[in-house]
Amino acid sequence: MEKELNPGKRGDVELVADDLDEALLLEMFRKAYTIRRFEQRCVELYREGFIRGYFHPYLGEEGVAVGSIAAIGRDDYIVSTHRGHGHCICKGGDLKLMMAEIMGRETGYCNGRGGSMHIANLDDHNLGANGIVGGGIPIATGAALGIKIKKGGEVVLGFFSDGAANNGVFGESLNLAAIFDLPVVFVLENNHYAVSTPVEYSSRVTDLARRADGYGMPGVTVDGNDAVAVYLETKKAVSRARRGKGPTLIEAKTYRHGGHHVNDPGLYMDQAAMARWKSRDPVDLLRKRLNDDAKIREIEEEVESELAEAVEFAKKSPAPSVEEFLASIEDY
Amino acid sequence: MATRIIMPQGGQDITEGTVVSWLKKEGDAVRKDEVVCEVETEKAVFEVPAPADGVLLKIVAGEGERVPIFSVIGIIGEQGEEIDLGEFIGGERQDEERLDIAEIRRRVGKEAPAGTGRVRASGRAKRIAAEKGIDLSNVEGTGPSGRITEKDVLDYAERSGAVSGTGEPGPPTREARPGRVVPMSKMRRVIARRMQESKQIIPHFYVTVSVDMTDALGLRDHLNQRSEGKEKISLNDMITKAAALALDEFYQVNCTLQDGNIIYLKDINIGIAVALDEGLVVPVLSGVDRLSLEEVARKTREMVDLSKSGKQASLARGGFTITNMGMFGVKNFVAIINPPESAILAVGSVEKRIVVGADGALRVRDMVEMTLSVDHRLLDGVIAARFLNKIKYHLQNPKSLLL
Amino acid sequence: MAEMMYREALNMALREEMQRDPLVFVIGEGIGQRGGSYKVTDRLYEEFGAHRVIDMPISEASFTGAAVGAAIVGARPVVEILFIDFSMLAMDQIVNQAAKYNFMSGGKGHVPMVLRTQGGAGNGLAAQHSQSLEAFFYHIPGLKVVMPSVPYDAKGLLKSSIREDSPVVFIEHKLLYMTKGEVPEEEYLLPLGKADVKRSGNDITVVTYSYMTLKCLEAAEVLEKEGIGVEVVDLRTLTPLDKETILESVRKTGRALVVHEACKRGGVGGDIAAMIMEEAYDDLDGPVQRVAGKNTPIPYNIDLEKVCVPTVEEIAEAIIRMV
Repeated sequence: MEKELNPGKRGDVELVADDLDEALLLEMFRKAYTIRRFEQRCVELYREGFIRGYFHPYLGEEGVAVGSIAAIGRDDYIVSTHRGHGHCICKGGDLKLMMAEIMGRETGYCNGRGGSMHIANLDDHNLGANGIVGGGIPIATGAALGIKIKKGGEVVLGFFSDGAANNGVFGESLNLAAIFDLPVVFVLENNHYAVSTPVEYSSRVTDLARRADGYGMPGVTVDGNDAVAVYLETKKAVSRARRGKGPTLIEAKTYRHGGHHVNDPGLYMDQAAMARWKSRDPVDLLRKRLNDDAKIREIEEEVESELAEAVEFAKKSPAPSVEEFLASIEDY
Repeated sequence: MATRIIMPQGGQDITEGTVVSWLKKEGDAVRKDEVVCEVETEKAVFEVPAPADGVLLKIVAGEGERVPIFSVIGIIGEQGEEIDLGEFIGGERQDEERLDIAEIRRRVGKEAPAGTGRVRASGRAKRIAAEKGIDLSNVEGTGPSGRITEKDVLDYAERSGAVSGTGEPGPPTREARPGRVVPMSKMRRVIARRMQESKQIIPHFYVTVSVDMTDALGLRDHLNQRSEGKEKISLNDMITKAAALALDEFYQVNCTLQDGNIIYLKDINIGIAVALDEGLVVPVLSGVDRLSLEEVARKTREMVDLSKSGKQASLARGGFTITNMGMFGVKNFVAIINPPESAILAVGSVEKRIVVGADGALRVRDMVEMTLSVDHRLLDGVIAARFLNKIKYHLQNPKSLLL
Repeated sequence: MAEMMYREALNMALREEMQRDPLVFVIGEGIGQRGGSYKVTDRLYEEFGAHRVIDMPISEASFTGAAVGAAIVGARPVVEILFIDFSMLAMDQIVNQAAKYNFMSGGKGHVPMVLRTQGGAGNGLAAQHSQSLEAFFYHIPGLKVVMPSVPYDAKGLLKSSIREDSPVVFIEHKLLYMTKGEVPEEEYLLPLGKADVKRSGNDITVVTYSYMTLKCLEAAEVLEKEGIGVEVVDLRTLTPLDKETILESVRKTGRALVVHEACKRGGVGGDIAAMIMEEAYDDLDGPVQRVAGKNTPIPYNIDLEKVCVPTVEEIAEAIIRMV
């Protein structure tokens, strides 16, 4: 049985030296800081009208994507959610192409067709964000089945949320992955709210990882704001999956820094809990693990200029051509 | 370098926001990202951060004001900076759909409003009639509720010798004989109905002028001698062109009446009355103002040829008609307006007459009389007189037709 | 008469029906204290409590199925599925259970439930939040399908839907919620299966429903100045379909155009066009035409999105071509 962490407290994770060299920590910090700034910039661009529709910021949840995706390789797959910018950045996403997509430009990952909620980066094996809650769980399971059929050695990280855990596909998919020992790790990002409904309202058992037992796979709850804790648990699960030992359910507890999407002020959220979670900000926790202020500043400056470049690139990129689009759907 | 503060987008279905309060006054220093005001949309209250360091130069939208998203609500700049408000406040997003009906009409090739007259015909009948160049208003329908069927069109084609695949057009068979009773043909009936309606409904009035055509004839001969292999120009072409120029100037005349509305037409389309054995058709020449004299001549000839061989010569609707009986030796005649048009010009024969010049000298000149019939509901005497005199002017100064 | 928003009219309908009948209850996601994403259930929680305004986990299949069961035993559930795109998750419950129960039980069992949902493009919400899927439900015998275009219709039809003893799929449109219209103070009901001639004209009949009604009326207004009289028939309910009103109008004008936002292929418009051809061929001056959405998922980019659904210009162009 895995050791359970107490969410809301700093998890005393035993660092495993060969896994956590300085370079890896620096890289995790870079990714977390990139997500943080990318999302803040997107909110500004939304207010200015460069981004339309809506999008779901990953602010406050950076630890989960950063830690879990650090534990897999380039060829491994991820399946993302409607709150997918963080996953995409960690899986090698190019900020330029992401920003262009979110602004609906032809140069974006999906040529402006998909937008924030449907960003996919197939080159880096990010199978895509999804507008349907829980929609990615069967896809992650199926990707693992495909790998098994192809006799590949890759694993799949399937991200989803506490909200999706109450959808039928959750139970069906976990059962299926378990009986066939599929190489998939289910990463349940428990940010405590399904849109506006608190997890305490919609689940009697709020440690959702306990559900794994009923399907016959290990389940573990981890502090999602601590990227390192997430990393270590994911590492174990990935290693099991690669050895043909089947799936794992990792529940990473975390908290949104705002409402469900950019236009939701999140007035229903528990402010005391928010303050508690913010005091353990995932980006700050990584900063504290690094004892190199000069290096941190250097990374921050690099990220800022990379981000400025991405925004510039997206703003200058052409909109899709209406004529070409119409021609492309002729036989759809 | 001044920067705009804009009403933020605060919802995917929100188009406006209200300024709740300004936390800064004009003249206050602000730092980038410092909250300068609060705005409220349907969804929530948003804090608006300063987009740059500087001074709040101008509050454009005051507290309580409701403005479209993305419009300028304030301006930040340097102390004492001069700004051109107009330049800053313009350039807002326009998501309005604007309809350009004229553009749509051009695109679908229906430049003038359609008539409300309905021809009941099956789709097949319509297609075959179009292939054979048959005007369905001449065809008698035998289908349900008088619908014209394929067979009706084929029968008509056979009777009138309209083109069918290989056959040459022949003269239509005539059944009129003294002492015989012949039912009115469809064409005859249409003419009868329209002319009767026109005369019964439209209050006609008439204006006549004499036009000195001597110079016009001279120019015509000159042009026709010089042009080897070019289209020969007739006096009628010159009159058509002169009428187009006059219509261009007096756009009020180029109108039709429909359902109590006066529709001023965008294009100058002129109908030319063409006599056929069994009646009369009025093919329409469209965009005459854009045609050269030679193009007018060529297109008119093509239209007349088509009409005479029983084909639909044009689909455009006219706003004005010219009917010329010059070749039949009439001094002057008065025509009935072709509804829903506003006027029709009747042209008589050219006659040599002795004219007293302004200097009192007597000269022999080629004169013609023209009478304009006008719908008094739409137009009054003065404009009719001015318009007709404009046609006269162009014909007496025929070089103006070449411009 | 009071002027109110479409969403407020729906809110009133729910409130009145819940006051009238204690067996009416609403279920959905975030509809309680939050009042629903589109504010249709605003303040119902405060008045009727958690017992009758029930927030559900994100489990469309289960809570739709739960509504079917509750309806069978005599309660009157009104289910909200936030986007019609998500109703696909509950298709078995809607199509195989709710729609068939009365038939399979020899007419003895009833499923008096309403499924409220909304669809349509226009806010840059991309492929999985912008679909028009009414044809799915229109195709299924046993379901009633209601798609009102104005606040007055929305209120009167939602009340009737709640009192209806068979399952009703009540489809709203995201661009309609904030539109305003007159709604009487006093109680009224509108019958299902009755179309409304929103504008009369002699030259052409335009058959439409939901948000496209507003677009067709806009086109009609412009064309009026051109001397073209456009009759706009707003179906209001797709099932039952008010054939009589459609045919009466077509017999008068001799021309019919069907307009809907859903993509053309397999759309409701094809069925209506075929019905007109079958029933009124000899009154037609030409073939029935359709203006509909393009056969494509809805793209995110706002300019691409615009060309996927009919515009006022497209509607006007089709009319000009036809008359």
